[in-house]
Amino acid sequence: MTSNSAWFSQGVQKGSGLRIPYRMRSRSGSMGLRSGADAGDSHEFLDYRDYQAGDDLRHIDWNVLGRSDRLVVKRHQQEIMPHLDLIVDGTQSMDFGSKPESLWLVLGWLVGAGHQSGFQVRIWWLGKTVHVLHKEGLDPDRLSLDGRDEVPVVLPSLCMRMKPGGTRILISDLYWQQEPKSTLLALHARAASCGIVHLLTDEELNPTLQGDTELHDAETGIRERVLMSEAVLRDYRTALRAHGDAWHRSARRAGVGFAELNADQILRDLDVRPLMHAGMVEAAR
Amino acid sequence: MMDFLFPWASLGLAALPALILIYWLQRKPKKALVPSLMFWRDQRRMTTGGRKIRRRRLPWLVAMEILLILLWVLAAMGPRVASRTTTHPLVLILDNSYSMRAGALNRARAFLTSDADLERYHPIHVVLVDKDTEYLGSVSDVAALDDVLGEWNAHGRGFAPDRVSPLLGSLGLDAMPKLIMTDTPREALGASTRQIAWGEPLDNAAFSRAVREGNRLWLEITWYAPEPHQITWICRAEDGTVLDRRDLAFEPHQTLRLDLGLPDHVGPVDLVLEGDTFEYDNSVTLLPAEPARLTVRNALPPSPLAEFMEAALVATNRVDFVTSDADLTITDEEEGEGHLLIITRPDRAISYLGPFFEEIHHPLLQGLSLDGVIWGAGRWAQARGCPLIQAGDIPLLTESRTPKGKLHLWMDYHEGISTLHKTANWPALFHNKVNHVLENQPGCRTENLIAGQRVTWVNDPEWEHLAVVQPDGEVLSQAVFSDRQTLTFDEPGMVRVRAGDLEHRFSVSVGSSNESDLLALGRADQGRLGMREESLASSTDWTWTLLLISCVLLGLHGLWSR
Repeated sequence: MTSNSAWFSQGVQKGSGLRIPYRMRSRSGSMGLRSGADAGDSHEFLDYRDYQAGDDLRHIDWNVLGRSDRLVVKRHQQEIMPHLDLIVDGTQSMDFGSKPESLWLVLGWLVGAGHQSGFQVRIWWLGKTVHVLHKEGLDPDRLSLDGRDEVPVVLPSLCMRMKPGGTRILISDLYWQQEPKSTLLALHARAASCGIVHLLTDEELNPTLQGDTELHDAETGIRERVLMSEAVLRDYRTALRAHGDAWHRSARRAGVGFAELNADQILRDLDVRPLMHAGMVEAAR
Repeated sequence: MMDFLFPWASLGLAALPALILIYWLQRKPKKALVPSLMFWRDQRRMTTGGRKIRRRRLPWLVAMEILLILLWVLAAMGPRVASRTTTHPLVLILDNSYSMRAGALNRARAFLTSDADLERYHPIHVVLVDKDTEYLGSVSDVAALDDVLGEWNAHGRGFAPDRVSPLLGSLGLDAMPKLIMTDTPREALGASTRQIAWGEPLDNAAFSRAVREGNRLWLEITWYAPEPHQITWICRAEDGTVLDRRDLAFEPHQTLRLDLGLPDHVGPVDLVLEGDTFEYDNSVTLLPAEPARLTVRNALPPSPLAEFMEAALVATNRVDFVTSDADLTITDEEEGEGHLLIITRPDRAISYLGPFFEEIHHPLLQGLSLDGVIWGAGRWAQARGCPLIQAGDIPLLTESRTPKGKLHLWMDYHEGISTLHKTANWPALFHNKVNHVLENQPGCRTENLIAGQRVTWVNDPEWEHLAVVQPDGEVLSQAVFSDRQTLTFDEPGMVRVRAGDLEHRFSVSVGSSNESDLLALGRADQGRLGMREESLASSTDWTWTLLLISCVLLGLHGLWSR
């Protein structure tokens, strides 16, 4: 059996052949290490332009004023330091079936692609406590999926702690009742771009339960007894499908990338195309 | 001991094995871990998604269901728990005559509330006896007697213990031990009867008769004592003015009669005796009893018959002729609000010689004799009410009563071919008519009463209740159910009865020679009070109790099985 670390390493390796697309990087730009297209506060001189009311007085070129009595300001090239925030739903519902392994595989892909693209990558692990992890010192086998708080509860305060202008990707099974809009707004606040990876297993997508069954909720421990029938299973699948569609629709409206991944399938095929179709990664040039 | 009304309902116990079987046959479900119940819970609520599965019933829930079935079956069987209670009943007979007020009442009450021997008896049935008997109910024991003794007010005008037996017989109490509380020793007590007389002989003067008609008073005052004595008699007007005052010297057991005249327009007069110790029968109030008068309107066109009628009415000396708002209207057609005397005078009349069929019990026909009388009337007449005089099947005199209680008297009469108005029957008929109308006027035409005397009160159909103001100011309300009712007042003094705009005063006096003679009173403890043990069997129906308990259990079951 392959460990989480192995899946992560395998993912990083494959991710190094990918990159986070440029359009995912920045919309308005902010201060960083990379040179952006817009004028900014870096020391690299770009050109002059006439002073306009509201311009920073520190940028006025006093030498030109002394020489020509003209008020001009210096323009400097903007510096961009892109970062990628990967938010992992670490609740107990994610510890089901092949979801943990597939989670690390996807994380590997995204971390690899991020580094390949020059992003500063941080992983926000929403377990019982919130861990902020970097690739260095990351030990997948020691991290547990034991969170109890629903993601929408902690996400708004978490996003406020993230650097503005970054790229954010949430990996989750999206098992909560709140409508998608509030989560998407919190995720998108002050971010350059966002994406959501919806991770579900085969068993969740097409349950094989039969007969009189007592269901145990992995997170709450609540038990419900259901007599499984074709009708029950059909209605379950319909409701799950409607839930996913609602997320997909809301994400598209909010300009957030949305990828639905079958955990078992990606472990089998190691197929990164669903992420590419959602525009979250692309092949490195 | 428990009996069952419907034992065959125990067949319902067959449901118990079925319940237990269902419980044991219930399969344990497979367990499955799911990341979330989010979508499964929705399915559980959806009826199209499959039937709702209840959680497995816990053993104690099943035990509760078994208990519920047992309770229902028991309730259906109609359980009755038989019990037996032993009682020692006593009948307490209280002398309610007013001679008890000469000290015996208080002594008897003190005995009843303190005698330890009475504590053995329960329940105690209380009967109040004066000239009538009244069953006051039963109390659980002697400690609860106080409430009942409040009704022992000693206002009665005599004591008739012989009337108790029929009452006790009808109540099934005639074989019970009896305790009689009275003021006069009497012999011939029944078995298991104890009589305690608490009286003491007392000299007494009392009004044995007091009558007023207009401004005249007729009085009889009796001195009940073996020695001569002098009593002061005072007559006061309502405002306290002394109208007359005399010292009356009595020989032993003498009755003095006074015939006195009062000044004009004197209202109620108070007659008081001073000089003896028993004051209850020392005063009488007499209201001026004026004869009632009737207002009559003669709406007939001038004719000999109208004159005959007026002459007959004037002869009664109780009629005032008016032109409007009359109590009685004489007319030839049925119109008007009050009482009507409707004369129909047929043009083509024939003479009837008799025999006449008479409603001889009707007050209008009292004293009439129609033998030899010729009555001229029509060949045919419509029956409009109750025929009082008929010639064959032809009604000659008919009376009806309107919904408002007004009397309509129809008289088919042709004076030209009749002789009735020439006989003594004519004034007698109209005298009766005046009295009959007066007797049907709302209120009462009696003012001065003896305590316990019954008077007839005529109600107006618009009255809903009468307010009776007792001498002590207490106001009692009596509902009006019929056109007349009987009123009785036991307590001496001035009683006011109000109804609608009418207020009528009654002066209630004591007046009884038997009860005022206190010489026969004495103390004695006669007879022996036995003890009768009664064993009463009773059964209590537990059906509703069991159903109530099962409802509570059912509610708890529903609450806990969610």
